[in-house]
Amino acid sequence: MLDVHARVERGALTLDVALRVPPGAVLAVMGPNGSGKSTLLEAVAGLVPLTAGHVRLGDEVLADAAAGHHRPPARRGLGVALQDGALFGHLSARENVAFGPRAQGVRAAAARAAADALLADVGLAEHARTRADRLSGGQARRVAVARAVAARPRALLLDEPFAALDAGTRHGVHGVVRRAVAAGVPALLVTHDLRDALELADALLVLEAGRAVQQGTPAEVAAAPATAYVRRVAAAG
Amino acid sequence: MSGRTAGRLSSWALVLAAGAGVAVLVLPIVALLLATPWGDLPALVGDPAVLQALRLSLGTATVATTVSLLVGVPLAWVLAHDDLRGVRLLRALVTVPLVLPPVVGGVALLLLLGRRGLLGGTLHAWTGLSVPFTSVAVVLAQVFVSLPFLVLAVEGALRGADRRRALAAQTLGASPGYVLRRVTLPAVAPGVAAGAALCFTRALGEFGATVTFAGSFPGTTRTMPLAVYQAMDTAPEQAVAMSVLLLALSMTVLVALRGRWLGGLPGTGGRPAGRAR
Repeated sequence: MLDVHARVERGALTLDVALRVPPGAVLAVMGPNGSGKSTLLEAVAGLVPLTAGHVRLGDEVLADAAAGHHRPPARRGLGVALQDGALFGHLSARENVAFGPRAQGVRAAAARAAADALLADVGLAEHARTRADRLSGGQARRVAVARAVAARPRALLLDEPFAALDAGTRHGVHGVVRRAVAAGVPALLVTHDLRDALELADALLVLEAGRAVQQGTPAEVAAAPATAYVRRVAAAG
Repeated sequence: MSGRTAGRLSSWALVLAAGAGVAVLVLPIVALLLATPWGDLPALVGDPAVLQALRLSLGTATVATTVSLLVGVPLAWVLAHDDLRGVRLLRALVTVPLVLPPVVGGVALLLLLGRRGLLGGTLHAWTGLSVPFTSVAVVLAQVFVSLPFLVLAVEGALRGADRRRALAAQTLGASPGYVLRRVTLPAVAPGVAAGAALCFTRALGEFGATVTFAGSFPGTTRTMPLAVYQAMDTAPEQAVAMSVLLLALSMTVLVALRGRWLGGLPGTGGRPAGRAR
């Protein structure tokens, strides 16, 4: 179980959200620009500090603001795909995907084989040796998902991983996420596309101005939009 | 006058102005190459006085570049962090030597380290050492004028090496040392190399600060540019030969830099056939 209560103050935004994701479940997070989706994900990853609240994973406490406890991101054991990928431009696609395992001491040959398999799953087998800074935006996002999954995370945090993907490749990347989650990993999926939520997620949380304005299964939310934003998204999806 | 004619006229004016710009930059080099006594070049360049100046130039410029790297990379790191107090003022100070006439830099160095200088007097009284008119002074003059080039190039590279990538590496379980070794330094390396190359060529060409602060003594402070200037009076052919040699050195650095940019890093595979699928 990923159990989060995140209060973060960042510029004009005050984020205050509580959520729980059971093992093997996907929680989709949607919301307009500036609603705090990425901040929420970064807070769970430990990249921005909590001003109040906690992050627990299973029986481990990753962060607890009241106790002044903040485990550094490198020791949280999460698989994170940041917005726009944040790939290492000087490394190849394969080296990017193998980065997590290598950093954690997995031997080169094994890390490489696992990376190649994941790249094939996201439809980028022929780009294994391409420098990451020469990949297109959509390709970079797919590599970022493969990189997050390759680290054998205890929870997955994906920020807009399917943006700019066409239907065919989107399907392949969905498969990669589904398989990782099926191993009992909770996943947080930030998206702006209701179709992703409907296809992948068990639950949907809608954020506006840092607060949860609607929660439920994706189908429930789509059927009974609570705000103008959700109505617009439901109409587009 | 019709609009089309006016447009054609103004584009002609643009081409003419651009051509004049190219002429200003290229014609002097052409004149130099035409005046070069190519047949006698090996003998002229092989002259002991020329070789002495060349050795001194390469040696001092290499030391100056090394010193600039040692102090310039940390300085660039500080400048790349806008959130620190006083960084804007610091950047302005670092930029001063870029716009200052080098000869003024030489005068300033003399006033700092000369026998009666701000620090030079004390230094001489305590250690008996005197910096001006030595090879050390040559290096200091070169560092003074070339360090800003390195600092600004490296600062740009550090800013480009987006912090988000370091954060992404952390989330994948990488220790701070691993992040530095595998992400930050490799991303910055081309910028450091470019900065070092710029710094080296600037140091190699240094004249004003050197002649003021270090003088022109054969073997200790008479670097190539000083030797060229000296030779213009006594042996113009030799001056031309040395100039061509300096030109060749600068071009070599330029070509090496271009190779670095275009060739990418070794062992990373070629360009993909196309970005769009």
